[in-house]
Amino acid sequence: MMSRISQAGALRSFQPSAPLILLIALVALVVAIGWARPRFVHPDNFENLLIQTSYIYIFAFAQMLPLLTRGFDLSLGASVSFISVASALAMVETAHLGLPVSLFIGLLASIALGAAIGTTNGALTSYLKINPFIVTLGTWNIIGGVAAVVSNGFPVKTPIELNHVLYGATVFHVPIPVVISALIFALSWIFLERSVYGRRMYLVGDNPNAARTAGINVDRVVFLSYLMCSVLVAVGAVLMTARAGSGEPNLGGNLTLQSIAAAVVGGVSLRGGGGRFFSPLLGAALITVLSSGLNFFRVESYIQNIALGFVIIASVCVDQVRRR
Amino acid sequence: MVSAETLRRVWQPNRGVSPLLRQIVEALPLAIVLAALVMTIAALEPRFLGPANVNNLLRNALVLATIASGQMLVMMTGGFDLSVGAVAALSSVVSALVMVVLGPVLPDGDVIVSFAGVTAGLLSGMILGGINGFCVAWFQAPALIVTLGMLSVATGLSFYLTSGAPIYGLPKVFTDDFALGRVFGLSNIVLCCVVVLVAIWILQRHLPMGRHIRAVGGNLRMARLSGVNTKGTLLFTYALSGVISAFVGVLLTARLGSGQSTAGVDLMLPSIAVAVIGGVSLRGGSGRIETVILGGFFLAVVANGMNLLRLDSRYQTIAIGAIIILVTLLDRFVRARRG
Repeated sequence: MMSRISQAGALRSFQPSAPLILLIALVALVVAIGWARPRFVHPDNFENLLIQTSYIYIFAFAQMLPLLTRGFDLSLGASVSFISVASALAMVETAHLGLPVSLFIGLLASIALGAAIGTTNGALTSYLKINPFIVTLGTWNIIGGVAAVVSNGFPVKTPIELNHVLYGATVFHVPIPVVISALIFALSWIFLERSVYGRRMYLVGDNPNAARTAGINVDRVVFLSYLMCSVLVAVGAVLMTARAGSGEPNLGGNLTLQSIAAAVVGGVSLRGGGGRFFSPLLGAALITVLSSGLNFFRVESYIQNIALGFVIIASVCVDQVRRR
Repeated sequence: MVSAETLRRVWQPNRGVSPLLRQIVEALPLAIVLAALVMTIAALEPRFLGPANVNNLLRNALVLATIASGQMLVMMTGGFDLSVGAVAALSSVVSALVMVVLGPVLPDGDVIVSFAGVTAGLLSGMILGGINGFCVAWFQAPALIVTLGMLSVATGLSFYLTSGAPIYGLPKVFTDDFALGRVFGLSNIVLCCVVVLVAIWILQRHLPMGRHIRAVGGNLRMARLSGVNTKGTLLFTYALSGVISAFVGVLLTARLGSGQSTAGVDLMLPSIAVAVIGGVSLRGGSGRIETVILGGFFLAVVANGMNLLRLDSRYQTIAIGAIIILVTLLDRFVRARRG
């Protein structure tokens, strides 16, 4: 019964042609840029694109979870900055305990902070029923302020080994960030398409009243979506910190916008319950190719901001038209 | 055409209490908290009520209330405008650029040059706000994402136009005579804000559009069925929010003496904070300019008090973030208890 409802919901909110169009657009974009600038399709650049896509993908998938339950997380970017700085500080403070211990504590601290942020956002949104916009706008500023205070505005150097392990290392010649993203992608398929919890998340977003009637604890599902989002954000933040080689108070700068853009462009609906497990990956790839392509044409970053803004606006408008 | 009476009955049900009294009762908690806050800070820091600081406070509060008034109207239709700060910055850049370009062409026409610059700035705000409104009204796209996209567009545009450097060389009439001038002891900037706020009050209270905005936010379908031009109303509201943001951008330009791509960019959060503190409903349909002005004073007093007590601006961001959540939480509990 339960699965029949959610399957029908997924079919209705999702038209099979849309991801195909996106995929064709992605391939066409790569071919077009590669034709004009052959260096773009060189294997080295492809690896770059792949790594860049994996970072954006993690944040886009994280953002997708609250979007599924009709919310969103504006605090994502600030969380990345804060977790980056705080975990770097934890590593510095515990450096005297030896490298493995301090790395472990740093990772533990970032996951714990992610869970704490997710718990705050989730509890305020689900159990206390405050508008997610206000909640995450508030926590965005609180977390951003705390990040600036604890770091004093300066980067915090992390042990070089963190960079080696979580950025430089490869598994069968595949860089670690790509491996971790692929792992998350596989898990997201199992979670969203094959698990009861994932299907509940769709149903809650698609029709909260029906979900409640069906005996689902709606508050808990919403809470869970924020918790999972922030823990994923913590994973992404650690990976980006490893790449930067230091805890950066401005690491999250544009990420809220980019994560929402990637999710929405990939086909995640803002009205809840729409979007498939591959949507954030498609969106992340499109946005990465677009911005990297513009770089190849030496377009200034300001213009890229303008383009990103128009892409977001156009994609929500197209989404609404398609829905009619 | 909708009769004014029908809408008034639907959207302002008379509960047997005089509207004025109810309004005063609703604004009372905020006024009491504000008064307590003012007295506490004044006791801790005597400079707080000094003439220089009071002038400063008045200007900050009214600028905040002005940018929040546009935000309020948008929130009353059930949306948000995240682009207010970015639009203010773009307007600062555009108005300064037009003045600098026109300056050499009309060497004796400083007033005309200033006027043209201000008009161009306001026009840029109207266009960007209009695009927001168009997408929200005709495509029914979510306001949050549309205005988030516009934030990115406007920021990119203003940095592209200036390459990040301030634009100097504005007419003296604009940066000195206007920005530093006073009438009846009040600075021109304060007076400009008062004019906008009074205009919004008239719009809200005495013009059909004010009722239409409330109706669209209360129930879009019902508003359409009762003959309100809902698309036009939404377009108007977002365009107006753009113009008001642009106006604040122009005022900041006059005060700074240069066009800057960062002028007012951090006004987005305060504008929403002020509206929320001022009791604007997040579900649309209700909001009053009078309490929003009180909200502007509240936030300005908090920020000013923290400055005087030498608390870092980083702590101010944290405080504003916490205040937004707390006020919404409090509001929920009060409403829940009233039933």
